[in-house]
Amino acid sequence: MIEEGVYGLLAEYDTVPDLVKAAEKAYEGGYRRMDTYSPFPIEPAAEAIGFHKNRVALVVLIGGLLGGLGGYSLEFWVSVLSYPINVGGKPWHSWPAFIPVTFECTVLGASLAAFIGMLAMNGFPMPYHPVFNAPNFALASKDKFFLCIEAADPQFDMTKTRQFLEQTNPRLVTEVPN
Amino acid sequence: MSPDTHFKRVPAEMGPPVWLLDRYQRRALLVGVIASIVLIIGAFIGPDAYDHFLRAYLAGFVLWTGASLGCMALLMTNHLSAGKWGLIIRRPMEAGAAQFPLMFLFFIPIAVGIKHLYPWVQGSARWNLLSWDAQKIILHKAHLMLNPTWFLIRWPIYFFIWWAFSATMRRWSLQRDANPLARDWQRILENLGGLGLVVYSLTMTFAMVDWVMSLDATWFSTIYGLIFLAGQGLTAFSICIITILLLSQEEPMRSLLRKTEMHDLGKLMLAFVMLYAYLSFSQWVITWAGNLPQEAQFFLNRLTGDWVNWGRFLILFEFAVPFALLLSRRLKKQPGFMVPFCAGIIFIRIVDLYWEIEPSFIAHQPQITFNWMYLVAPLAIGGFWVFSYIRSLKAATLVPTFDAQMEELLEHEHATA
Repeated sequence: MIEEGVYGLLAEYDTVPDLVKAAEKAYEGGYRRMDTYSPFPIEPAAEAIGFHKNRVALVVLIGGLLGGLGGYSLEFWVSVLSYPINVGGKPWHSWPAFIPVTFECTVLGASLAAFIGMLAMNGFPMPYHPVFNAPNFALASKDKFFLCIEAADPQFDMTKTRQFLEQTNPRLVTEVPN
Repeated sequence: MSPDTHFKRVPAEMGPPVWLLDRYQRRALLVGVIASIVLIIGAFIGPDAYDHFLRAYLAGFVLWTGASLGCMALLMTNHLSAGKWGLIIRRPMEAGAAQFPLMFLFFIPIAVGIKHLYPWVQGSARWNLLSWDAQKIILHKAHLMLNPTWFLIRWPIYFFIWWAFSATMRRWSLQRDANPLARDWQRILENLGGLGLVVYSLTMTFAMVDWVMSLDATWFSTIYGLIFLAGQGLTAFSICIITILLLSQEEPMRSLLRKTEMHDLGKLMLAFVMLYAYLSFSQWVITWAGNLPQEAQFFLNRLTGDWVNWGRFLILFEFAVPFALLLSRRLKKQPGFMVPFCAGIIFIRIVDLYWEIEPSFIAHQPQITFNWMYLVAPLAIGGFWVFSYIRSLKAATLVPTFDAQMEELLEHEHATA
């Protein structure tokens, strides 16, 4: 059930294990629309809320293949088609000489794909996010750990969800206005 | 809810499971003894048997000395950079690096057979086969380094330096466990590791030039030592990964080994596979681009006739296949895959060493002369190496009991795919 003007409920924790434990319990309790916020990446927390796999690896693979293909094609075009030069009597299509550039372009393509793909799949750039409306949320960049169960979750209920979060040993549970 | 429920319990017994290690140790000894007997008999039966024996033995010796060197270098790297990946395999690395006294003794057959192996021994059969030009190069340019006296003096020097570093790291690591606050261990070991890596790179390059590169007395490559460095990293990682995975059937490794560290070790394996390919390719592409007769001969011996298939096999199974397999996040975390995979990597290292060594002897006949001793010699030396390695492993706890990162290793890990 959707509450008007409420984005969700935000629970604040002191330690990583508290957060991970709470996130696990919430997932077991059937909540799905939720997210964790922390000053540094915590892989177990991501896994606890059911975030097992992402497609970044696939994007990186595709980026790498395109980069490598691009690098090789560029060399082929330059040395074979556009401006062939006799270097040391070697054939124009001397593939061994193309490999270093191909390799570097593979790395370049893969890392650009990783950087841009990761940002895009996280939904960045994101000029507005309701969770920043919570007064204590600034601490997520400092030393506190947060779990937010969103109002969009079908199981969300203002009182029941609050009660549920209170049981998970938080420092504080606050309402996040939309 | 008390916070300590989030942590795994520290296993009561941090020592290694002795009964399990005893079993592997007995098997290793059995393999070593049987293979040695077969090898010694083989050395006397058949034409040129002694020559083949020496080459096979050299491959086995370089492989297992490389295993110890790799363990030592990884240990130094770990002390220097302090990653959690090294904590779980620190004791296996220390045990591997403790085998230099054994490998020192295993050099004796090579020292005795020096005349049959190295063409720069003047008056030997191989010396007489050299062209006059080659003899001139050796006499005028290489004789200061490549002469039997110096060669035999360098052998104990290398082993003494390696032993000194690995024994010191081992001793300090055990002292750190016993008395964690006595000294600033972290910094001391860091400094030792940094210094050690420089010394390792130099001495190891010298040793590989002595033992392997000088089989072809006139050819040289400046990247040669680094290619062996990558190979040693692969061998050492394989041994350490197999060790902890086999030991994870029992406490304490059962509770300590997490998917996170397995993933890390798999990623490092992947890095070394790439490093190996990168360096090997560099050596080849520079030779190919230069196209000079004295440099190209090395590859002409190895990439013509039947040998080209051997080279293709190595590209496929020392680079392409392991690279593709290790890209998978799932496989890296799967013990059932990693154990046979690592064993395969060690096998490929033997194949690689054969390709490195044998063509130096048969420069004018491009067909492969495979001798069964090439497979038996690594087993013979390896059996004793593993036996002694397990003995070192049993002498201490299986993981360092005191380390600032130990707490993190005990953190609960959540179900991973």
